[in-house]
Amino acid sequence: MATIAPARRTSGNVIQYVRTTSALHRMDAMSKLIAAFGVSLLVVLINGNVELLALFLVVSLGALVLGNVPPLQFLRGARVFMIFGSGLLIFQLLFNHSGQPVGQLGPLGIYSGGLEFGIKKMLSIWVVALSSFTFIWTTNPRSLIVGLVRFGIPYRFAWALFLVMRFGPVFEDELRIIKDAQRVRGFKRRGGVSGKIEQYKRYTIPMLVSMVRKATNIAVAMDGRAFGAYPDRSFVDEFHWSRSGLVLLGLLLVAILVAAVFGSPFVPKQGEFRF
Amino acid sequence: MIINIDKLVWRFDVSAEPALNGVSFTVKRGEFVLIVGASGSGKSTLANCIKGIVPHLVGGFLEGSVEVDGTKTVELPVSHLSSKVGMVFQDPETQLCNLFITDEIAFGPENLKLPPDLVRTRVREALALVGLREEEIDQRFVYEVSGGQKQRIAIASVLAMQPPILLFDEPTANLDPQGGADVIAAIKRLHDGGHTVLVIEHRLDELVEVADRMIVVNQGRIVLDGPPRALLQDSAEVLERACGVRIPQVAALALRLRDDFDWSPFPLTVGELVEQTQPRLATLSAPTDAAPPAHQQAGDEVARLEAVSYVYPGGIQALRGVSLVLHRGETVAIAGTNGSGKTTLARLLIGLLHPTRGRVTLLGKDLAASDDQEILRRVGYVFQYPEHQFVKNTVYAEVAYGLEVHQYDAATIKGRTEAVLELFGLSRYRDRHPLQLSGGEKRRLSVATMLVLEPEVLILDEPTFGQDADSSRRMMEHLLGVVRQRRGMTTVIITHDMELVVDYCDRLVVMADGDVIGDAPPRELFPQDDMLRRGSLIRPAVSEYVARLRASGVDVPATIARVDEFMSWYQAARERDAVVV
Repeated sequence: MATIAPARRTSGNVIQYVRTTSALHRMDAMSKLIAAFGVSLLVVLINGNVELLALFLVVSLGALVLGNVPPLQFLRGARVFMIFGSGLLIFQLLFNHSGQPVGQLGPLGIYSGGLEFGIKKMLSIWVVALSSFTFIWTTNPRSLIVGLVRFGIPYRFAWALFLVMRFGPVFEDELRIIKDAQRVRGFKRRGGVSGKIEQYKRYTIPMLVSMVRKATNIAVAMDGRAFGAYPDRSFVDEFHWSRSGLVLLGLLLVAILVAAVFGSPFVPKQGEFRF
Repeated sequence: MIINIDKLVWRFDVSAEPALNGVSFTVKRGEFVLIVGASGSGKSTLANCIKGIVPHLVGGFLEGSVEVDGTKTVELPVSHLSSKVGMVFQDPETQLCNLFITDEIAFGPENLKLPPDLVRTRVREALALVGLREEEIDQRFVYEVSGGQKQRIAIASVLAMQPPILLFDEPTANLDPQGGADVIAAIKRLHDGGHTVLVIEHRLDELVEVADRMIVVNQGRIVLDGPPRALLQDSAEVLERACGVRIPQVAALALRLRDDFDWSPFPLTVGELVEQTQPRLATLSAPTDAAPPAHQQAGDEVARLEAVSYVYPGGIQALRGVSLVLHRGETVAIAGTNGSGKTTLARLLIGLLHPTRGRVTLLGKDLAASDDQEILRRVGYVFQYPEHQFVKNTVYAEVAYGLEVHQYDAATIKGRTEAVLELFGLSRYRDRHPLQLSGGEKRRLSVATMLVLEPEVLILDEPTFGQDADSSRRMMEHLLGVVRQRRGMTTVIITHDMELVVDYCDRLVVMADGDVIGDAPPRELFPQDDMLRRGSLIRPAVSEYVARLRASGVDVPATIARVDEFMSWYQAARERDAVVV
């Protein structure tokens, strides 16, 4: 009887389920999915940047403490959305000249409207992305399928979502290999818009080739094991709401109602800069 | 008859010539059938017809009929045929679509709407059949286990649906030798258990003894059909020359010895060969000290790894204090278990990764302080998938690209590009898009893009990955032939093909668990059982034969590892005996 080597740690992909034990891991998938949407709704309802920052800290603490996400994994994930969110802030600083001048950055005048709106956009992106990442890090994709099917989603659609989560890390690895492979050819990344376009073009074609090849093989392998033979299928595991999930949803509902009914106490007046 | 194929003709939409042309045969319940043939002969298409992938998932024109277990395949979709025919593909990575191993095996039965308790029972039974225990794989991700284990999981996932027919399309092609042997052992057990088994395979060594029949496909037609023993004994030349089938080493040796031995039966295993030859070989009284074949003399040092460790960002320790020196002009094979650190080592050598601890020196310079472009001009690296490295729209531009990046003059670019295209037989495709080439041509192009820079070190990372054994071997023979002509170039090949290693490599570096556990000329390592086991390697059949002969008292040199080497020793020993008499 052959033996299997002990489990290894994760390969370090950013978008990947983290196998560990935690309060969030024990929580049912549907509560977490609804909560992720709930957090997005809360972001829309909140006007103040202080509240957004507080929400970001709460979600961060949730991921690190309640989700037991390794700090390195958290930071690598955070880097992705922080860069994107900061880009939105810079865009606002450059082009939004509403409100009062609040400072000078070299030749660039900073205005209260651009700064305030830029921070809001940046924090909004951070919160929404982090809640989505936390969902992925702490949710076994299989339990998500079981939950979605339980709620009447056709299993083929649920499986499509699962495959995205399952093969996300695979394609992340693939992109890394393609970047290395082209670096070996002497391909140097150039700055500027044309450099970026050239870079994406060169990565896109090999990625597409790889994705089509893998997708075709996977589809044939799935068909070959009776996937889609019947309108429904059985599951060895069942969906159950978890108590912690219901508590989380309850708290989130209260927060959404408070935000919707009372609004933010820190909504700035016209022309006034408030962080 | 469990399979009945009658006058089958299949032509792909994109092709004028039929891929299968008038194929007819039947398979009895419980038979073990080996389907062999050169690349492109139509054997995989034949398997796809039996599984129903053709015509349901592939466009084309079909004539004739394929009937499995009493059902015509055209009448049922692939998903419904799955309870009649289970198919395991070449690449385990792309047939496992779940995250956890147990979910993967439960996937098929769940799709058949079986009750959860029955699914769990099927999972346990399927795991037992492939030699895995449920408690071992509980909570394990499918991508965390070795290639051989992945392939056994893929087999278990098919077995859980309990199809009477099992089809295997080159199931060992991407596996290390030990992983491949484990998979073949699992297939044998399934056949013993009553399954009808059809295997498409190029590595015939371990399969010919258990197969009841061997069907040889050539240019879309069945050209030979019979017991493997009889076909190898009587039709080896047709198999090899006309059909591109690689004759197993034991059979090849038996054919060379047939004038001196009356085979009964014709040997297919090392055991059978030893049993029938040992008594006579033991009487050869003239021991010979065969000189080991001449290898490339070690030149100056070109690369040095000093106590190098590497830990990936996610925490996986890939290398643990590896020390290694490469010399100018050497051809070095790196082999070992999947995940043992071979690719990491190769990437450290070219500076794609930097050591967590230790130092890498390449061409006299510390890589940590070297200029990327200078290294890339002097060191070539060929990745597993050729298309990852393609950056241009024509074959010519692809080869010329590296020279342009390094700012060679126009005359040099033209001269070198055309010479390399000629060398690799790619001149006639010069204006074609690289992605329009066949698999073997793409591979040749990827090597050509590196060789055009005339590198001092060339690294080939599993160059045979994803290709069938026959064409990949031909490609490697061509490539290494070219490399040999370029004296002074150091070549590093990550490979599992021990016959290739014997034929072309001066050194074999064996890795296990992120460390080098063996580093010597291949022939010196083959007798080391424990090291081979740790590195998941299996010595070539001739080496195994020699080891068993020596164990039984025949004084044959331990360094013999090829059929022609054994024959040279045997003929010399026999002639000396004749002189003594």
